[in-house]
Amino acid sequence: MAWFPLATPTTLETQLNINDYIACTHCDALYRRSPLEPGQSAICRDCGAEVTWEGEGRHEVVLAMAISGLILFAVACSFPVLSIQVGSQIESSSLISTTLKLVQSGFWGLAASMVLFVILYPALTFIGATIVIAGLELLPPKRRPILAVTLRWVTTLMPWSMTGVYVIGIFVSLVKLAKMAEVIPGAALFALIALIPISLMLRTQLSRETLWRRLEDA
Amino acid sequence: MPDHPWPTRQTEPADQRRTAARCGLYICHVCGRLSAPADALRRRHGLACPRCRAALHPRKPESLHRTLALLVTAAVLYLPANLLPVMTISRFGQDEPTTILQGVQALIAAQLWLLAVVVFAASIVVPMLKISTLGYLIWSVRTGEKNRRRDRTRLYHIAESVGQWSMVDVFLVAVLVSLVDLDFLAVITPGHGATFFAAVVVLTMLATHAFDPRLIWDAAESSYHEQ
Repeated sequence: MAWFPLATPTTLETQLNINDYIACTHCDALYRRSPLEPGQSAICRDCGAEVTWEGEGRHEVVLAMAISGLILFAVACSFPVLSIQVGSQIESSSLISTTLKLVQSGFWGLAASMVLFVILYPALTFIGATIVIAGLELLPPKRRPILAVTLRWVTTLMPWSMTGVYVIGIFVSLVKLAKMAEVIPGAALFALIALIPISLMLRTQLSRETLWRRLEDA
Repeated sequence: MPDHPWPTRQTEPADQRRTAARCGLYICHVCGRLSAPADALRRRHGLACPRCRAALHPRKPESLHRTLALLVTAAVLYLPANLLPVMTISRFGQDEPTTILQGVQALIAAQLWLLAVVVFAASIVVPMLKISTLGYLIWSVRTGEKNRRRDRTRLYHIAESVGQWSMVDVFLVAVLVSLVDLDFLAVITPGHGATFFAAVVVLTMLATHAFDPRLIWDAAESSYHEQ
């Protein structure tokens, strides 16, 4: 803290209401809040980053998204992603079998990246989103702190969930193998593809701001 | 996804900017709430956000040192990641180790241009750009560079958003290894290059998280206070 002065509020009224203000996480510029239309975002005048945005979402839509995300994710975990057929021999690969194969070959680092980034973190993100959104409707206000902890974890894990990247990896291998053998896409591949717009919608329907405000108001 | 129209408006002179830090406010990195130290929760190791209980700091703690440490580690591991094979293809009793660059070459040779571009961008361009971008940003903050703060913030934003896409090659290896295990035709086994490469991607992502873009703006402002 030595290198920058924590000034006393001189430019601001000394008795400010913190909820009327918002700051840019990229450059620290402080703004007075003004109401946004659904789908609008506020861009920082100084650095051009997005300060906040207002989601278009209604609760039911988001809850439906989160639950379908969970179901699709369950499908993605239990069915093969790709199979190849050469003559009468068929080899299938699912998320779980891929991980086991890497463990068997002794590549623990690769197995860990599979488990964490493709299976565990995406799963926790969908489970967490469902808990938070369903909990806002169902739980009595006393229990809300559990939701705050969940939402905090969802926010932290979100950038580490890489199902979209995994799908690109599958596509590359699909094209690579297409010359060698017959490649059959499995149910899990379609589930993973369907998950991409769903997780995008989850992110755009409700902003972080809105969720936290609702948690706080309760 | 809300789009990012970067407005072209010129920034105000550094000394006129009204920032959270100058008003004695902390931004919570998890929930975005502003807190004055007086209403923050007090913890043994410092302050916490009253809304989400995440740790509060005026700036990310030890940001430059931590970013640099992670970045140097990533840069060192980048060598074995590219020199060691990421997988070995065994066909008809012949072993054929493949590095990342050879993988791209194979795609070019097979005339799969689009895939070659995707893999080349994700596995070679993105990690190198990320390492050099963060390195430049650290250097620019350390030297107190005052110009082009907006562009540098944007550079950081780009490095932040492309982060995970370099994992494509790692996942490609994972899929191929699990799928191509046909004794009589071909067997693909993973190589240590893939592990190093995954480590590089994770480390550069951690380094991006550790860097605090507000330091870019502080460089111009704290010197104003020193005058």
